[in-house]
Amino acid sequence: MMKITPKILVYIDGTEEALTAMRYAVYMAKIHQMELYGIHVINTKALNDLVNAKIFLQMEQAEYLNDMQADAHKHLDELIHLAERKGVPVHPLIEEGDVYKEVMHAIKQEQVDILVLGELSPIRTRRDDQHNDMERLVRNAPCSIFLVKDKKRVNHLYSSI
Amino acid sequence: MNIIRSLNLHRVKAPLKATTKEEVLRELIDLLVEDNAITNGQEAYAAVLAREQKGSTGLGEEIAIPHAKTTAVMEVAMAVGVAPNGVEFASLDGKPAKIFFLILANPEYSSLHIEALSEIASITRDEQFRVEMLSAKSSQDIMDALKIGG
Repeated sequence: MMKITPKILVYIDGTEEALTAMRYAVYMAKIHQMELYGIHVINTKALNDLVNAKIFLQMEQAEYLNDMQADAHKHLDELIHLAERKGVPVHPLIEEGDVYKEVMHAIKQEQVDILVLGELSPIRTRRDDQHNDMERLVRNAPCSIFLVKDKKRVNHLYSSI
Repeated sequence: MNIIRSLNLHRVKAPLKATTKEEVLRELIDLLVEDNAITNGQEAYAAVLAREQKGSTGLGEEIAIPHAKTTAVMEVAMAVGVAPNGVEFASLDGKPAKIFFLILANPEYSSLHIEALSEIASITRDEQFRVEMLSAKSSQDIMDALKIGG
């Protein structure tokens, strides 16, 4: 029987939680011989919404878009660096648009088996259900999901390989 | 991200003492300075004021979301204040602003800055939330209004 290499996708957004998720994803990819993908979505939907809501000026939009594109490369470089140190190859993905939609699309497009997310925030705010892309992904992603918790333990695991 | 998570009782205030736009900005920035969230209050104030000079962040509906990029903050920081009597903020609807969300972000954390602003924009569309914020008489009241179930 042909061996299938499972695919693992880690969502990266520049938060501390995402950094822990990246380390765990590298650990899993290495230990379980999985194919590692990392995705960062440049949230142009939020940017457009802010302009429409008059919170942002038109002149700010272009400036922030440039900054966000630089952010995307910086965050994916972090993953590539973490993975390279452990000899794990990475497929970096940078998309623009709605975070939820783009991650869902990538899962389907790349036929991802496991989505790895950073820990969800413990404090929930009003309208969080509508706003929080992570919660929506947990509920609706068509693949299995790993929610990464315990930063200290993950750091230990990452260092052990 | 959840910008609300970065808040604590020291970064919210009701009622604000300020009676002018500039005083509101200073009072909110002072909250962040006193809570060690930013390293240089003057630099942060200059950045926020420069942004306001390009166009007011008074959105109408008694809400203002002043924001700026500044290296005075490590990542993203927010302060929240309520001025029950209202402050002239050159808002879109011409009415005084009463609820203020100050968001400062390091230029290297623009994505988180956008997420934070988006999160606040979403919260402030909730009328019940606005009512609760406007009735806030203490920092704890603001914290309660920002969480589900108080």
